[in-house]
Amino acid sequence: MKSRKLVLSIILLIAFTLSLAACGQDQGTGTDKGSESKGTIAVLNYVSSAPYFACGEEKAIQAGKDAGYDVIYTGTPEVDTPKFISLIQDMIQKDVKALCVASGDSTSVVPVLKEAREKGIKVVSWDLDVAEEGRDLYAGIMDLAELGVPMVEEMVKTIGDEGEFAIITGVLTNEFLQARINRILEYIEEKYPKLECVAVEGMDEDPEKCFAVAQNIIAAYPNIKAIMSNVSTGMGPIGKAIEQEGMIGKIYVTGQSTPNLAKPVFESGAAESAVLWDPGDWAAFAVKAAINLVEGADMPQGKVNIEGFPDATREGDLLYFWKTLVFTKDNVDDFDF
Amino acid sequence: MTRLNKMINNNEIMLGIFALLLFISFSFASSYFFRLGNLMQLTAQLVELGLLTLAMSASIISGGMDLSIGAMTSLSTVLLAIFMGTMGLNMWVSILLAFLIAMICGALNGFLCGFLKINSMLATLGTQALFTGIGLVISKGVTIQCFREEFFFFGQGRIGGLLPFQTVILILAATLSVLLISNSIWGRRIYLIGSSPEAARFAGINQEWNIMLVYIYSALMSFICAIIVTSRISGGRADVADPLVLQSVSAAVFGGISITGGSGNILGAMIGVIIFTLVSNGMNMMGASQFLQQIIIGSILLAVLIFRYFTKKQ
Repeated sequence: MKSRKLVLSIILLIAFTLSLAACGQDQGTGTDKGSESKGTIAVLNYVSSAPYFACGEEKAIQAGKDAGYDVIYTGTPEVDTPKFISLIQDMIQKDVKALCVASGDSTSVVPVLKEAREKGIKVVSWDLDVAEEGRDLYAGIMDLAELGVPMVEEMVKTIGDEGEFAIITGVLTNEFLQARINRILEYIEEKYPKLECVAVEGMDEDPEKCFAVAQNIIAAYPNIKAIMSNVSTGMGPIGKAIEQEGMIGKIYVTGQSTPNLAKPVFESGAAESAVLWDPGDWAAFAVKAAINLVEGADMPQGKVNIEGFPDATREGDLLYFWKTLVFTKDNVDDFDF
Repeated sequence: MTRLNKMINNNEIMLGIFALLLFISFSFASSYFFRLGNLMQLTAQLVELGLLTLAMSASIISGGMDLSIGAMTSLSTVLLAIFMGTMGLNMWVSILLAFLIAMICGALNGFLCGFLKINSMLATLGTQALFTGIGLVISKGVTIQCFREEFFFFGQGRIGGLLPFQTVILILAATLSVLLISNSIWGRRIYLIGSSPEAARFAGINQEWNIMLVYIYSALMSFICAIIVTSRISGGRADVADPLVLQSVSAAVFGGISITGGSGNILGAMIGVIIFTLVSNGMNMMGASQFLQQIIIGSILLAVLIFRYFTKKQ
């Protein structure tokens, strides 16, 4: 009987603590330091446990703060489309002024985003663009399939312009990643016909799976010279697989990586360079575009004046800020994300 | 005192009280939570996990576990999107075709688990890979679009502009499930098979066909879920429902369905779904981090399991 009461009170306690924690939260996001907030902007991504998205938080929040807005930066911890849609609905219920949405595919969030727009909420897509009717603007770096070009060029600098390579991508169903793979294949056919892509594998945003996939590729293709990571989280595990199989100097990992994840791979010698952009800049760019929409600021075609992004342009509903980064072991320590 | 004891020992009442406490806490904690718009949306958010938890509960009660429900749902979304979106078939014809294929999937699971007596987790792990693979091949790995106005009603429609239509579907499906699993002869048979296959055999119960029906029922719930998902996202994708599988196991177990089979009931599992969804929606309204939500869900699940351990012990 005693233990029964004990456990009952524990459960009551959890409910109580929840409500207390809640009170603190609500006040925290409202107004801080006495300055009146102009409203809230929600910045959402579809896999918030990825360092790639986690590292954008600070700059996104700062971009909002500079203009007097609160920013909620959140996402589903794992890829989970039904839950992601529920999260967007919840943000709509919270009366946000604008949504900046990074979705895993271009159509599944469109109905819920249309609902948001009908309620007067401004919608900016970033990372992957969504179908037009779902958003007011797309905020991007450049046409991201085009990023395949510097990725190939950096690979050629490392392994030369002939031989076999493989690509490890995120989730195989991700259209945006698929579009870049197609661009890569098109580009090498045109410019480096002696390069041959022998395999395209998915790692499902899971580093351990990526490691195993890389090991399999190394075993299956004895003549392979490079494994290209099509996502920012792949280079570390691929580099480790190359190191463990004793293939340093024979097989290189190329492609994308965040600088922090690339550092150990540069040290082991499994990679010479990595291509990326700053996800924080990207999220901040989306926030600034959203604020311009909310405030009705003029954003003409051609060159666009967006604070902090001097090269920004607009073509139709697409805003680009044109800034990529190539990391090598000489400059990688200058970045921290 | 004995009345209090009885109450504490009644799993559904305890879970119901807990859900109510959560509801009240969130209402005070966030000014956005207790609004008609949010509450209606909350009921809509129950539906997909709810339907798959019904499917999962039935297979767990029968002493198995259908791990292919996520893949079946996803495959059905791809088929519906291809039939309606790509091929432009009539909506009802598309639904009928996809339904027949879903039933074949369920029958395959039923055949493997009921007739060949393959361990259900292994069998459905295999069919899960098979269904996902078929979905990936026919969709070429991308989301298949399906913008059909008349089809939007299932996952986006509101009755009287307010009550989400999918909520009504869940209520109907849950009622049907309570009738079938808790109150029919078939239901009592699968409880017996789940708790003691030996005893069921001595009682002359035809295990093969009763298990077959469990997996067909599971495929039916997955298919209904697929209709709602396809409508809600205006399309289909070969992995869209995968994350719901383990959530449905948690919700079922949380709701009092014994993982070893033969006990627990559907009502409890549904309250489990309500609590999970409440926590997710309520914490979003509070602006709590998604990572914190996982800690809270995990803690609540453990607390309830520990609570059950102590109450059972006495």
